[in-house]
Amino acid sequence: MATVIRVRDLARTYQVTEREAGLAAALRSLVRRRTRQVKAVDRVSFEIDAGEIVGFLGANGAGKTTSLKMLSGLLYPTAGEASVLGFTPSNREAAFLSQITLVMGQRNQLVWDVPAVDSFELSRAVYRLPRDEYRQTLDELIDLLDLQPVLGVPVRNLSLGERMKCEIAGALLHRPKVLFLDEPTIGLDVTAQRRIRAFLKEYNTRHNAAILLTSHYMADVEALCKRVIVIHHGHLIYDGDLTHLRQQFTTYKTIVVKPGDAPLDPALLAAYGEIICEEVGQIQLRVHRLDAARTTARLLADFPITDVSIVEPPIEEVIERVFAMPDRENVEPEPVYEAV
Amino acid sequence: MRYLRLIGLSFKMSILNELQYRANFVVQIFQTALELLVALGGLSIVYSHTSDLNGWSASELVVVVGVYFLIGGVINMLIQPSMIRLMEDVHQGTLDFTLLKPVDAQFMVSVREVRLWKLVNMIVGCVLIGVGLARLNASVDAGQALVFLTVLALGLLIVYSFWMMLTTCAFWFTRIENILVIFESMYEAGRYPVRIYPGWLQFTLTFLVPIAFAVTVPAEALLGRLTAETLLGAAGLAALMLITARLFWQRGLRHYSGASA
Amino acid sequence: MHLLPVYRIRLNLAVATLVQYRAALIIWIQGLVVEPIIYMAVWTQVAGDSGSVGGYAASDFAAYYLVWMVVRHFTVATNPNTIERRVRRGEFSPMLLLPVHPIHMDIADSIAYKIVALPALLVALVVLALVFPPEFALQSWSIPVFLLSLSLAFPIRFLFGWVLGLIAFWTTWARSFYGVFVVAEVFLTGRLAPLSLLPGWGLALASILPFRWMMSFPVEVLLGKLSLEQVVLGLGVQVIVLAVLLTLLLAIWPAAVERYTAAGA
Repeated sequence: MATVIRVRDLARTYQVTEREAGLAAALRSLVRRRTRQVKAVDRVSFEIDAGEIVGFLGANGAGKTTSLKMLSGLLYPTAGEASVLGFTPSNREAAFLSQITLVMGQRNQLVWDVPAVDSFELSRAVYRLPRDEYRQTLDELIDLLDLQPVLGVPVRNLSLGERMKCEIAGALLHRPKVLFLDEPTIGLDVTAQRRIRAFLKEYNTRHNAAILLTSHYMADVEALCKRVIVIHHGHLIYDGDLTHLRQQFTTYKTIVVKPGDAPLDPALLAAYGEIICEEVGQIQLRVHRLDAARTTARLLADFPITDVSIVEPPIEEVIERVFAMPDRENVEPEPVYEAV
Repeated sequence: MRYLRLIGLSFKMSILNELQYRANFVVQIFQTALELLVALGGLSIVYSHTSDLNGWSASELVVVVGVYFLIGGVINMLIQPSMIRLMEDVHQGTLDFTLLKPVDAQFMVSVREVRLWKLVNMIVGCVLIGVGLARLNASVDAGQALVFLTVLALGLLIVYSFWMMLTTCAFWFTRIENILVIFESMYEAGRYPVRIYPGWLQFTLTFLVPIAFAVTVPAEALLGRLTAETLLGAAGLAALMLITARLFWQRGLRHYSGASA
Repeated sequence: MHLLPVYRIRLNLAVATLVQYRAALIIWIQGLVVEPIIYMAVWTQVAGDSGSVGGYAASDFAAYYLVWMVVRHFTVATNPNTIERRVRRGEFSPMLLLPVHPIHMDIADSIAYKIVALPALLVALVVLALVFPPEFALQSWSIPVFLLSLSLAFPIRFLFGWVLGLIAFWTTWARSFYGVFVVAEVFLTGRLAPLSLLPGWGLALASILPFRWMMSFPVEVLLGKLSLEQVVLGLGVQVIVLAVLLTLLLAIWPAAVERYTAAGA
């Protein structure tokens, strides 16, 4: 398959101003400001093929948006190379811009007080789309996103979900081959999120477009992305299958124990693993990944238990653990829970 | 051709937007009336103590004030709104969308907004020019009118370039909205012919903040005071400022995107 | 006095915020300088032909507009449009939750502005004084009385703007109304020209309305254009105007809040 995005040792450094609190410091900073270099993105390399949907994960400030901006040509890299569809993004050639799009969930580009379809008309002129081709794309988008009822309504009167659907439609009128989506579902309710997810999937299959997507909603990522890239403090720390992410970053599994008729004393179970949840009729134990089978067997042998199951930690929890890690230099396996 | 179409569409959208707030039209008429009151009231106080301000009569100053309103109206209708929008976009990061369009970005940011109601100021300006000329019993032939329109256009190009340069500063200084105040307060100086100011101020108002070419020079064209040197100077300055604004804008963009500027 | 720490902290905050926007400060000073320069130039031209106008020679105009700048700087206050915006956007809601009247925050912010921009003002004054050499006829009491009248002019202008701003609680057309205020201010506070150059009814109007007392009066004091009796009388009027405005604020504010909360903001 054709590689559409190629990134090698991409880096971006920012200069930030800092000063201490207090009036004196404030007045001092009138005259002199102290600055510090911050590495927002540090030597990141990856490749993305046409038709791939890749989840771009990282905590706030990890460098996701900076990376997306470099790939779309809005930010100039401090070092390294990026190539998208064979172009160097920062040159911002018209031929390049006509084939990509950037959607930012927290920013609107549709004109606030007029119906979305008027804004679309401007896009048609900007991208020089032939009328019938434009009509065809628009019809397709209307159909897929169910836009008919909202097209003629001023954007300000739309709900957040409807507005986002219009934003996405407006960003895709020129049928871009590469989509950069920064939090496209932020703030939307579950139904709207699901709708947008389904649409992105459909667009991706129909047009073989590559999508690089950031989202705080793991449901988005799980539904759309087979592959994820995790960026942490500017470093790329993982690039691969979503399923392998669990194994790489969590060393534990959860055993759910359902006691029989006689109530179990949780204190006794504590010897088998860390108790993370304790409710009526159910106790959850955290044990090391490798010990899961052995511990389960021992639990069954030692206690009158009706049911026991081994569960992978939810993806949110995995990501949370990754984000909580201090920095790449300090990445190390988490403490192992000693098996008894 | 394509660019004309883009201007048309962009303006249409902005006008559609504004038509929803029709009450603003009434507000604008009211506001223009107040501005007129300040301008003419000021003149009448000054001319109650003298009959001639450095060689300019009261009626000639009415023409100057007319041009002041006309040009001010054009600036506030076509130039300033897009520039304010540009500052906001830089501030909020929505400029990114414009930069991702396969169209010249300077062009796009320059034609995005129109304030239709500022037409009121333009009409008032034309009326004042007419009244002033009538009181002077001056006749304006076709040639003079053509020269007037030419210097008017040159003046607007100069003001546009000036605004563009000011706004481009937003790439470096985030809180630049106040820069409006600079232009607006300086523009007030245009209510009087710049020749009445001390030399250093004349220089400032001619070359640093080009009020002279926007207001005084077109008024001079109407009153038969324009010299060929001034006309050539206006053309030269317009060309120079357009190019400078372009280069500065490109430098600003490089800074914005973090290319070593 | 639980207000003192509030002022101290708010002042610190406002100063810390303001110093981050150096460009904005320079622009403010620029705006402050340009306006008097225009008028100064115009009036110098007018005076130049006949030597003096209405008792003002060129050097008197220079002195007038220098003091004008100082007074304008120290009387700058919250704009009624700011209050209108707060009402329109519901920005008053968080302010009403505080156990302190919102006007105190505005006063502190306004004072912070004066402090931070002061160095720039001083530079501008020195430069202008060199370009347009002023002439002062100071009395022994001029400076202390000037300071006294200035410290009355600031609260008068501040309260006037604030009380005017309260109109926004009742009508959505408040902004247009404020335009009238700005026009009146240009003519009647002595911004455009010394009040004595206005037709007689202008001066009378300025004295009956609070306009003269929020700006022109301190300038007149320092220029030595007034006799001692006129000065004492003027100070008395300033105190009365201030008391009236304060009473108005105290009377209208509760009704404004009631209206605001009733509107479901």
